[in-house]
Amino acid sequence: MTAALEPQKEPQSSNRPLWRMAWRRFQQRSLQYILCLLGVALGVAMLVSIDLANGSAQTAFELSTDAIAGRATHQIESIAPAGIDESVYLQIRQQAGLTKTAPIVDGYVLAPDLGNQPMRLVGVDLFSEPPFRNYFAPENQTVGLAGLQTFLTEPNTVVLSTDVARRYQVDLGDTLTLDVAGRLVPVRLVGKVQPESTTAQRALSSLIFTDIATAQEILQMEGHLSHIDLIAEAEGDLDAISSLLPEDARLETAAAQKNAVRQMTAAFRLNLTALSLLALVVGMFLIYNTVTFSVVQRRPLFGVLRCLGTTPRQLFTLIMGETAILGILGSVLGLGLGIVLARSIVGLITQTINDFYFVVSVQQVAIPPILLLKGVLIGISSALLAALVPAIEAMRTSPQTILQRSSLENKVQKLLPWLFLSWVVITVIGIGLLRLQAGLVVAFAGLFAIVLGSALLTPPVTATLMKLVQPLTQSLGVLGRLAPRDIVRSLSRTSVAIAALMVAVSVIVGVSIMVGSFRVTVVQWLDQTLQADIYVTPPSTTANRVLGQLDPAVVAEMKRWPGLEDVVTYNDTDATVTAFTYGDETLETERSIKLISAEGDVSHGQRPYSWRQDSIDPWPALDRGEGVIVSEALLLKANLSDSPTSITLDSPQGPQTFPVLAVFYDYSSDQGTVILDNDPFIQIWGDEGIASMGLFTAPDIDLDTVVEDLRERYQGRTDVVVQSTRSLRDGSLEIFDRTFAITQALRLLAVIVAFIGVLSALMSLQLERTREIGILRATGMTPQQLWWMTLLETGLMGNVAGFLAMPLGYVLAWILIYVINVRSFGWTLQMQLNPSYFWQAWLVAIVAALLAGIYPAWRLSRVTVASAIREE
Amino acid sequence: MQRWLGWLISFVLGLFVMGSPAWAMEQGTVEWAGPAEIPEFQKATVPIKLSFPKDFGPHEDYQTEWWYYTGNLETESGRLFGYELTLFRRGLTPGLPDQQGSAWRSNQVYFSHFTLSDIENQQFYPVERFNRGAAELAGAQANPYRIWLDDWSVEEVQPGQLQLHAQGPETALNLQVSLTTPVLQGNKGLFVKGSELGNAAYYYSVVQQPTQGTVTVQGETLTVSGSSWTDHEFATRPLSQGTQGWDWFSLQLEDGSVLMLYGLRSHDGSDLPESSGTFINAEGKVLHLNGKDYQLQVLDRWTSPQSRTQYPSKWVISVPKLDLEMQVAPMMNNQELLLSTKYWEGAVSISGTQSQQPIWGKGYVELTGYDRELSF
Repeated sequence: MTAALEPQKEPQSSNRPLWRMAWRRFQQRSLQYILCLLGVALGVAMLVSIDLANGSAQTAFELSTDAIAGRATHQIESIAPAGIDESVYLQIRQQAGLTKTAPIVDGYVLAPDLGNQPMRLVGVDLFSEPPFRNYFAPENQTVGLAGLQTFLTEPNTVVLSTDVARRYQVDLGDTLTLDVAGRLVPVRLVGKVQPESTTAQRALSSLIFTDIATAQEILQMEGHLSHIDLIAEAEGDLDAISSLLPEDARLETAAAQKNAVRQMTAAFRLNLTALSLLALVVGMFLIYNTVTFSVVQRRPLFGVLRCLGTTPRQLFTLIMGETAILGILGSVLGLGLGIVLARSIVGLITQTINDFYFVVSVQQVAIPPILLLKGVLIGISSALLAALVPAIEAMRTSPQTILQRSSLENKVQKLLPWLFLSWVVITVIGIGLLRLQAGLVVAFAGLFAIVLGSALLTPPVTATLMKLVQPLTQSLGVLGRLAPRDIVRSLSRTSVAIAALMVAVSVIVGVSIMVGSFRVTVVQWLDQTLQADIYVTPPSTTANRVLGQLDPAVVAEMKRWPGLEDVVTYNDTDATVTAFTYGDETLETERSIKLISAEGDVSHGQRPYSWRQDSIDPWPALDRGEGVIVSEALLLKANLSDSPTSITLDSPQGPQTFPVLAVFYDYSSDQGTVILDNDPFIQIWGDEGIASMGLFTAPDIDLDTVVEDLRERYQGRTDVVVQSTRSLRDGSLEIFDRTFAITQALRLLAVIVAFIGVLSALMSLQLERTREIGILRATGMTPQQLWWMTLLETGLMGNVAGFLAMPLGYVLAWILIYVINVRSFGWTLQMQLNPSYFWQAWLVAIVAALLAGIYPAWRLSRVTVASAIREE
Repeated sequence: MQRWLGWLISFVLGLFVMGSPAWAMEQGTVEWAGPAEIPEFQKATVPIKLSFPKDFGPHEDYQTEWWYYTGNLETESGRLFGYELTLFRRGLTPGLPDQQGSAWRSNQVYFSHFTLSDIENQQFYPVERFNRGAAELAGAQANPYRIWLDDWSVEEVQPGQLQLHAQGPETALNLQVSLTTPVLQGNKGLFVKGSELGNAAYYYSVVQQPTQGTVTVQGETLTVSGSSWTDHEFATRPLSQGTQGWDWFSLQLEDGSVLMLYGLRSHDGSDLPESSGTFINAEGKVLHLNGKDYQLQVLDRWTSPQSRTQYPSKWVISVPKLDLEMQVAPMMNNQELLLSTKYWEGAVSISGTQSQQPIWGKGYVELTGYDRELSF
C-alpha cells in the first residue's frame, strides 16, 4: 500500500494535556480551590437549608392536612366560632342522600407524654371514613370489630401512629394525658395505626385519632362539628348541599383551603429565601474571584498554549470545565451541609410558624429530591455564571497580549467609568422595581439590583479612595506608599474581594437596623397597648396565640374581684373580610382575619392610631356598636393606602358591613385584625366565651397583693394563667427575639462566606506576588516590614469595604423597613439609627480583612529570597 | 447518549413518583388493643312473649339483630323485579350507653344491604351502607315503627302502612307495603339453630304483604306491584360450632300459602338436624316442619364469575306430609352480594304440584357460607 491510498486522517486534537495541567495546578494550589469550593458549598448550603426547613414545616402541615382531608373534594366549613351544627350532617345524609360525606371534629392539644408537642386531635367517624381515608379500612384490622369496641364505646380512647407510640414508648392500654387549653384529660391508647408509606407515616406523626364522640367531649364541642368532608361526584351534589347549608357554614374546595394556608406563610418564606439567596450572591463573588485568579495567574501559560496552537474554545472549555467540577463538588458538599443545617433551623422556623400562623409539629426534615436538585443546579449555574467573564476574557485576548501581564489591569482601569455608569443604571432600575406596586418578588429583585449595583461601584470607589489615602499613608514611609498602589494595581482582584466583604457587611448593617427598629417599635407598641395591670388567660397551646377560652365561672369571679377599677375582656375568632367600601365604591376581596370581640380598651386610650375618624378616641363609638377598628396590616396587605369607610365581614348571619372608626397598629399578627364590640359580636357570632382578660387595679391598691391573691385563688388550676404586665411584655419580646433568631443565624453565615471570600482573595493576591516580594526582600525589606505591608493592604481593603457597607447597609435597612416589611407583613416600623450598628460593622470588616491577611503574610514572610526570585 | 437519556428520564419520573400524593391511595393497618372485657349479651334460650308493636323495635340486650325485607315485583306490562332491603344491628356492648356528653357516643353498629334484581336485563345492583346507631344517623324504633340508616328507611306512615325507601348510585326503591299479621317462627318465636342451649334466635315473619310503588333502574322509574316478606330476628351467637352456613327459602305461592325453609349446613355440606321450616296455608294456619318433614335436592350449581364461589342454583323441594313437590329456580343466576359479607340472595320462581294440583309462585332464597364459614 502506498501512502497516497491511505484515507486522509483528520488532524486530531485532544483536551487531555490541558486537563492534566489543570490537575497539576490543583495539586499545587489546593488550598485556594478548597476555599472556593467552600464558598460554593456554604452558599448552596444556606439556600438548601432554608428551602428544606421552610419546606418541611409547610409539608408537615400539608401532609397532616392531607392525611385528614384524604380524598375529599370539598369541605363544609363553619363561619360560626362554635363549629357546624351536627344536624347539618344528618340533613346531608338523610335529605340530600349523600353518603360520601364524613364529619370531622378536630382541635389542638398538648401531649406532655409525647414530647410536649402540640398535636392535632382528630375525631373521625369510622363508618363514613372509607371513601376518604383507608387507615381504618376493615380489611386492614388485626382484631376486627372486637378492637373497635373500646374505641367506639369507651370514652377517652385514642389511636396513635405506630411510629409515635414507639418513639415515646407508649403501648396499647397505656394512659396518656392531653392538655386541652390547660384542662388535663387522661386518655387511653387503644390502637396503633401503621400506614404503609413513609409519607403517610410522617403525616400521621402529629395526629391523634379518636372517635368523633370522644373528640366532641374532649374538645367540649358537643353538638358541633369542625367541618364536613365530602366527595362531590356530580354538580348536582353541590347544589343539593348548598341548598341545605345554613348561613353559618360555607362550602369550599379542598384545594382552596390548602392554598389559604400556603398564602398565609408565603411572605414569611419568601423573606427567608431572599436572605439565603444573598449568601449565594456572596458565594458567587467568591467563585468569580477564584476563577479570575486562576486565569490571571496562568496568563503566561495560556499565552504559551495559544502560541502552541490551543484554540480559544479549548481554553474556554478548560476554564469552564474546572469551574463546573468545582461547582458540582461544592454544590454536593453544600447539599450535605444544607441538610445538617436544616435540621437545626427547622426548629426555629417551626416555632415562628407556631407563634404567628398555625400549629404545626415537624418531627423530621423532609428531603424532597426536587429541592436538592434545585440547590445543585443553582450552585453549578452560579459558579459557571461567575466564571463566564474571566473565561471569555481569556478566550478573547490574543496570545500576544496574554503574555503581557499588565493587559488585564489596563482593561480594568479603562472599565472604571463604565462601571460607574452601570452602577447608576442598575441602581435606577432597582429603584424603579422597588417603586412598582408589584408584590414581594419584584421588591426583592429591586433590593438585589441595588446590592449588585453597589458591587459594581466598588472598583471605581476603591481606586478613588486609594488615591485619596495615599497622602495619609505616605507618612508611614515606603510601605505606606506601596500598599494603596498595590491595591489599585490589582484592582480586578482586590475590588472583588472588597465587594464581597462589603455586601456581607452591609447585610449585617441593614438587617441589624431593621431588627433593631422593629424591636424598638414593638417595645413602644407593647408599652402603649398593655396598660392593664394583670392579664388572665388560659395557658396558650402556642406562645403567641391564645387557644381556648376561660371558664365562665372564673370570668364572673374576676369581674367581682375586690380592688379592681376596670376589667376588659376579649374573645376572638377567625373571620373573612369580603369587601372594603370607599364611599360608593366597593372592592370585593377575600381575606382571612382575626376578629376580636372587645369589652373595653386594654390600652385605656394610650394606643396610637395610624388613622382616626375625626381624630378622636374611637372606643366610645366602638362601645356603642357604631363600627369597627381595623389593623394597619389588613389595609397594607390589601395594598390599600387609605382607610375604607366600611368593611364587610362574612358572618354566621350572612355578610355584615361595619363602618371603620380607626386604624390601629398591630404587630401581633400579619393576617389583619378587626376589633368589634362584644355586644354585636355575641349577637351575630353567638359566642359568649372570654378568651382573655385585662384587669386594672384601683390606684390605692397594691398590685402585688392582688396578683398574689389571684394566684392563690387559682392555685392548682391548670386552665387559668395570671400574669403581670411585665411578664406578658417579656413573653411577647421573647417571641419577637425568637422570631429573629433565624435572621441572626443567617447573618452570621453571610459573614462567614464573606470571610472565606476575602481570605481566598488575599491569599491568591499575595501568593501571585511571590516574585515581586522576593525582589523586595532581596533589596532589603525585612520579614517584619513584609508583615506590615500585607496587613496594611488588607486593612485598607477592609476599611474600604466597611466604608462602602455603611451607606449600602442604611439603604438596605430602609428598603427592608419601608418596602419589604410593609409588603410582606403590613407592618410599618419607625427606623431607629444606632451608631453602634455602623461602627460595629466597620470593625467587623476590618477585623475580617486583617484576619484574612494573617495567613498570606505569614507564608510570604517565610519565603526564601532565592527561591522566590527563581520561580520565574 | 441514549443511556444518559434513559437515566435522565427515569430520574425525572422518580421525582414525580416521590412527589405524588401517596396518601391518596394510602393503606394502613391498625393494631387494636383487645376489648377490655368480653361483653355479656343475653341469649335466646326459652320462648319469650313477643308482642307487637313493641317487638317490631330493637332489642339491644342481644348482640345481633336484623330486619329483612324481600319481595317480588312486577310492572303492569309484566317486567319482573326482585328487591332486598335489610338492616342489620350489631351491639358492641349490651344495652344502650349513657346518653350524656356527645350524641355520637354509641355501642350500636348498623349496616344495611339494598339490592335490586332487574330480571329482564339480567342486572343485579347490590349496595351497602354502614353507620352508627347514634345522632339519629341510623336506628330502629317500635312505635311508630321505623328502621333507618341515612336516607334508607322503612317507616310506618300510617297504621298498617309501611313506606320503604332506598337508593343507590343506579337504583332506587319507593314502596308502600301493607302490614299483615306477624307469624312466630319455631317454638312461639324461639327458633333453634344449634344443639346447645342458646343456639337460637327469636324470629318472626310477616308474609304475603301486598306491595306497590316504584323502582328506578338506570334513571328509569317504573310503577310496580307485588308481594313482600319480612323477617325479623334477634339473637346472640345463635349458631353452634361447626355450622358452615344456611340456605333460607321464603316461597310465596299464588294460592296465598307460603313455605319457609331454614336449612343449616355443617362444614362437610351435610344438613344439620336443626334445619326446619314453616308452612302457612292460605287461611293462615301454621304448620311447623322439622328437618325430616321435607327433602331438598339440588339440581344445578352456578359458579360466580367474580368470586369463583359455587352456589346451588336449582332445587326440588318435597314435603310428603303436605303432598307438595315443587321446583325452585333463580330468576337469574347472578344475584350474589359481594359486599363486606359475601352471600347469594335473590328472586326465585316456583312451580310444582300439591295434591296433583299445579301450584306456582315467587320467592326469595338466601345462600350463605359458600365462600367461607359464616361467623357471628
